[in-house]
Amino acid sequence: MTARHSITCYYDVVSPYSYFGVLLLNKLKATHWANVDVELKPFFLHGIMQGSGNQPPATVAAKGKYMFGDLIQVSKVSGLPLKFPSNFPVMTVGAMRLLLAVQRHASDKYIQCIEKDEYWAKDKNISEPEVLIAALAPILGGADKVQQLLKLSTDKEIKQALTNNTNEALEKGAFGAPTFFVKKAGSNKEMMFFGSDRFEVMAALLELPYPGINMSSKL
Amino acid sequence: MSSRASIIFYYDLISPYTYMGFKVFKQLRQQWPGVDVTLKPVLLGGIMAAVNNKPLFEFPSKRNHMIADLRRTSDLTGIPFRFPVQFPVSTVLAMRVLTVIKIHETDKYENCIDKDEYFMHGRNISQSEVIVTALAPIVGGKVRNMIQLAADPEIKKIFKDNTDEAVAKGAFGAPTLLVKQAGSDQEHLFFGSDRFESIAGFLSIPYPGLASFKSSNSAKL
Repeated sequence: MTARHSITCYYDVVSPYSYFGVLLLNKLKATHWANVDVELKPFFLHGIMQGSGNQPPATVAAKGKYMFGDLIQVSKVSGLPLKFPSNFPVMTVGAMRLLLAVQRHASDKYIQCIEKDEYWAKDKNISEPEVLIAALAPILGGADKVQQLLKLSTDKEIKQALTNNTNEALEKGAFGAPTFFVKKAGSNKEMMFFGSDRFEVMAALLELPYPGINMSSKL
Repeated sequence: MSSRASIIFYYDLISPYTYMGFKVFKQLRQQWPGVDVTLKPVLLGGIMAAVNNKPLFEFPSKRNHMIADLRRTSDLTGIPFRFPVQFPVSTVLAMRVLTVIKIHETDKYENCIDKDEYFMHGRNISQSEVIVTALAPIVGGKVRNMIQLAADPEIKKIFKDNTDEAVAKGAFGAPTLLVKQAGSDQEHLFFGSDRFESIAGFLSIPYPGLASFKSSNSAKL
């Protein structure tokens, strides 16, 4: 139980709605939700699907088709860029483990690293280490630094941490990404919100302002 | 091509998100006088079967989230919601009755959709007596006639055609909204009760936010 509201976001960079969800949450945190404790936890979406018996939306052709159009609409109305990648999906376990390593060993750069749009706006294949290195080198201070973190990310400890985050989310009821767990200040009760489109309801619950989806011009 | 924006709202009374979406939409429409709205009855089960989708209530974790999600939206908007003990029930009869009412009692149609029998009072709307009790205050003694007409092959065909149309346009669930900008022929699909802010942006019309519903309702008392 804490004296501040808290939001824990479980995300996987393979998920387009995680891309939007993380960016929108970070914008809210940077502007109107400054006093909320926000934690961004990497997890493995494929593991969530397997554990919950769910399947990716594109397994139903009509859903997959809808998703393309929906993502364009969300991009337009939010002002957040999106270009659907030519390779979808790709294996993101490497990227997620790297982000865990960044969270542990370069925590002040973690948010910047998550917010890179190599996959969701620049059509780069983030299952390839060279792509990850090129993406994060400018933030982390050079390709060598990224290489070091990549090496650390293959440690048993990091692999276990990703598995732990995934299992933790599953146990709490997650079935997809992004999944948010919200705790009001002074309460132990965790409320699960699924999807990048629940910030308006979260805002009302936490008695915080909701500036609308288009936050890109509001900083 | 119409010079006005339009929204086709495909609905089935079985769907909790459609119940909430319809009520939210009803509030928002008060601020959207320039949009032409058509409410089309469909069979959600028919849509699901056609596209090989599964209802979310079959997944326990999705179902639990849905109930909590709708309760929170209910708290925020003041729109009453209580998940019924008997779920699901067949809505084929009720939806065919609404198909009849859409044609034969058009001016009362929307009031007939806007009832809380199932998602507030938990009454079994698969039963004709429940339908009679719910709609008699609106359409009067004609309600039993409406129920008989619901069995007409012509009505069954119209209802089935609506469902087939929704599938052809890309629907895979409910509520599904087909939205056209003013002066455009292009139909854009929006799925779910949570896309109204996006739709407002798409049509360049105001989105006052869900939090405004309670205060605007109490202002009317």
